[in-house]
Amino acid sequence: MDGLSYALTALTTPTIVLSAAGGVLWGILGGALPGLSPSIAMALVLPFTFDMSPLAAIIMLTSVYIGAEYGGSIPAILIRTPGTNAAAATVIDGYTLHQQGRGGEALGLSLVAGTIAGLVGLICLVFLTKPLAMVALYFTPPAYFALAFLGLSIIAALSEGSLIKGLIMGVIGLMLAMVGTDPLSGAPRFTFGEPDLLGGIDYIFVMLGVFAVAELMNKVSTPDDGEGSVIKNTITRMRLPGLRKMWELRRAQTIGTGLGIIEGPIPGAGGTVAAFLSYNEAKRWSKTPEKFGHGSEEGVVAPEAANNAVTSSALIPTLSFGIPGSNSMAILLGGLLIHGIQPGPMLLSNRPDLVYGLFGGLFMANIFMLILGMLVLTPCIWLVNRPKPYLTACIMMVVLSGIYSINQSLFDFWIVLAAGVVGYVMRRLEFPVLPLILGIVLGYMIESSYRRSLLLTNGDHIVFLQNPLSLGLLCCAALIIGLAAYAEIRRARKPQDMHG
Amino acid sequence: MKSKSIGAIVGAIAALGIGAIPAIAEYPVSTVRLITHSSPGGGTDVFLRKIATTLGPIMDVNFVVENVTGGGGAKAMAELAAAPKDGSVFYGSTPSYIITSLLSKPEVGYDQLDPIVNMFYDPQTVFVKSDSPYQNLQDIIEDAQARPGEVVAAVSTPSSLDRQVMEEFQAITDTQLVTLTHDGGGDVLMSVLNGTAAVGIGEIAEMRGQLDADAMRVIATYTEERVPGFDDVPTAQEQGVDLVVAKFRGIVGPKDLPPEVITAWEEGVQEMMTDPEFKEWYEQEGVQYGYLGHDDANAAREEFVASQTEFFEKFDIN
Amino acid sequence: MRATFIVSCLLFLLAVAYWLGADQISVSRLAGGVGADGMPKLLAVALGVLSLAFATQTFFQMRAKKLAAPADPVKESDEPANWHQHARAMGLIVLGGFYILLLPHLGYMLSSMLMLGGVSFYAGLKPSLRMLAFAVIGGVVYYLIFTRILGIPLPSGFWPRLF
Repeated sequence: MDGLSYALTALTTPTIVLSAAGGVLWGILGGALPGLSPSIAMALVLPFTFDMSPLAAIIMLTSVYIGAEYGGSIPAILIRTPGTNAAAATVIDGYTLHQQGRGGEALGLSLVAGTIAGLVGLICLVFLTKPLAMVALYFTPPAYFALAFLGLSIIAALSEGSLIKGLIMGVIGLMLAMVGTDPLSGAPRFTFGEPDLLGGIDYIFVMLGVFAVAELMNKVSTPDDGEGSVIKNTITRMRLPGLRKMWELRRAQTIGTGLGIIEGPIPGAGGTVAAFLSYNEAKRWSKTPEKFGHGSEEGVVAPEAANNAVTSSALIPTLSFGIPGSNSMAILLGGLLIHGIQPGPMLLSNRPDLVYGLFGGLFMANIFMLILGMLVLTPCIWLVNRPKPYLTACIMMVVLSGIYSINQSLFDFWIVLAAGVVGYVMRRLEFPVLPLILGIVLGYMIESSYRRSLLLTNGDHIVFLQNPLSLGLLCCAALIIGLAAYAEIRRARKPQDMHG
Repeated sequence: MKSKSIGAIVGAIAALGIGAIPAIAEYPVSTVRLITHSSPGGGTDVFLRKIATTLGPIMDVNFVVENVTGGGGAKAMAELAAAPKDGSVFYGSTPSYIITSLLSKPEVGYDQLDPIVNMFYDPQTVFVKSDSPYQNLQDIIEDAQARPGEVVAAVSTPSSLDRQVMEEFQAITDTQLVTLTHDGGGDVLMSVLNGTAAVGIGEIAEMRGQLDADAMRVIATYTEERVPGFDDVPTAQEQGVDLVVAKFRGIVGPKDLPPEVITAWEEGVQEMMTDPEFKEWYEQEGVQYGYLGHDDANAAREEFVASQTEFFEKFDIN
Repeated sequence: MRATFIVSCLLFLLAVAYWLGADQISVSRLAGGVGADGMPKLLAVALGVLSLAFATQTFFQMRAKKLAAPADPVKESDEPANWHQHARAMGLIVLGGFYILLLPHLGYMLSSMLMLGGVSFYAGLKPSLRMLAFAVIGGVVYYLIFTRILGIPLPSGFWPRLF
């Protein structure tokens, strides 16, 4: 088998092993710093890859990507701050577990779940490239609309007990997503003449505000006495889950991995949608759904498996069509083009050494992720165990540093602070946060694909029913909303039953 | 792709063209920032990085490529207009900065910037999937006349030149097609590949992988002459559709730069264009030679603005 | 409860303002059948309806509660303490605002030192030599990480003019 020998050559070339390890380490650090997205972490190393061999360059870039997608979950669990967009779903149960003193377990779960998902995703990438590439091709505008709608329908399921509050937050999220240039006409909307708003509000700003800044505000609202005490539930060290634990969590792991692999190749959908969908599905199929939101292990495993599985399958459209599906993949494509390599249908037959070498590199990267993840976690845990005033100051500073890399604009800092105030108010009034995030993440996709679909049929809505994929996804969405509404009605009836 | 669909994201990077070989004329500053509104790995970004590495030694300057994304170039224009006028900041331009200025009317528009040089033309092409029944533009026109409002043509962003080409195509040929806009060139390819659109408009560089695999065919180019490397593809004019698009790539600077800076650029770029390795690269990229010095580039821009304004008025936009 | 009611009214006002804002979006033939203002207007209506429903719901809950327990003295006295907490929370935002205003002038390193010192003091640390050391060393470390290693061009302030 030629492929295997190419992969083995890559595995035994010192420079390539080194670039995989270095890439993963850099990625974990970049992902863990809030505001530095995986694509920025990749862009930062891009210049260094110019002088490398093409294989080392592509392995380094993909390793950074893999590391960064994992790294984002570290601050999500430890300081309620998603380091990457896709880690937003991990915050809910991850941080709750940390507050319960089980942060070490949560970190271990996220690392192991992510590694398993990454390796399974890699196997799919090797053997199922063709069918997975077809997934990307099936997504026409009506199907994108249906996918976005399915994503939004989770709001109904995630805002248990107060559907109306959830819907309000979802609508506000969508409203924020409307800011910027109109996807079809290019006309500015709600920009108030501010050039910084023309490109829209990046969702990481809103996430950092409503999660991280709001949490810090909450912390300082109760003054500390004197030197400041260490957070009550000190965790001592990261704890890797045993085989039995992982077997117990197999359902969440499978759901996350599966959804991640399917969502990866869809351009524009990405890990965030996959993470949220799998969080919701894991909850639905869980034996203990009531634990979700109150420190569920499955609630960490599912989204973490999803966003790491995406890292493998997201490579498919880039490698097999030469079409990048996300900013991170656009940078990978740029890195390849600079080396004179043209990804596309011919890549496998023209450069099998590169493709199989990359597979070998991805394998190494996932293993390095496990090893380096363990090494990195120890200092991270030490850091979050510092006395509260120091920790608060350090987190605030991290939040007000990294995001400058996105637009080099001070305006973005104001957005984060404003989002922080909103998040604080929401918390105090017990408005759910996730619907807001879902709304802002999916707003662009749902609007642009809806309007494009209607262009295809001159305004006839039948287009959403003609496309089988779109029809199927819309049915799933209807099912989710129906079940949530049923549960809401039952909950509303229950107290009356008891009284009467 | 536009911001939201794949994240608005992406910031600064530095690519260095390390200067070592003797320069033509002493350039007043040692580090020059080249701004692009495309994200890392995007069309203009790759193009600027190549220029940085080739032109750096020629002009004895460290070029640093910086991505100022957002607002279809509005932010990049604002940054350029506020930059010092000493030749230390430039903007890698495509027609989009002019279109954005005319459509979105940002505070800083194209008229506050000064074209320094033009380098290339990006040939706009009409392409179909390789198993498509269309062999030439005439086939499309006939089909569109037989089924008005049903043939779908994929173009990139709403304010792109591709989009305008499609509108003009319909006006010239008296046909009615569906113009489906996308977030960027990659999505256009996807739409043509999965059959959502019957034809696509785009640049050669983006579809190179598909062309190599014979998954797609180019059936016409909107150029004056046939594109090198595509000698058997007739131009739209040859096929009876009188439509030529000059999608230029060049360098734009702040207004009132010292004349020696402009001269240094003109001389440097002319020398770079003759470099054989560079020539091989840009022909592979599918762009055509289109060098214009400072005065010519200004005249060309005036012409372009006039035609754009006419288009927007004709099609009742804004 | 009362705060919730006020918020739902504010949300209704937001919906109205959003509609007016959506009405300002320039019309263009490129926007397609739905138009650039279609979705924003739909959202404005949705928020309007939802906020009214929410206000009504809260109103009835408030009345139900009032009927159940006419006077709630404990809650009343609880309010000022709460407001004190909220004010403290907002203080962090004010500190952040100062940081953003100072950053372009003082440069990243000095501003981050001030911010680290300021926030740790605000969060309950007593001023001491240790705090000073924390702020100074912290600022340098942040500068090294973000500006040097990551190469993010954070503002350098007046420093370059000195040298």
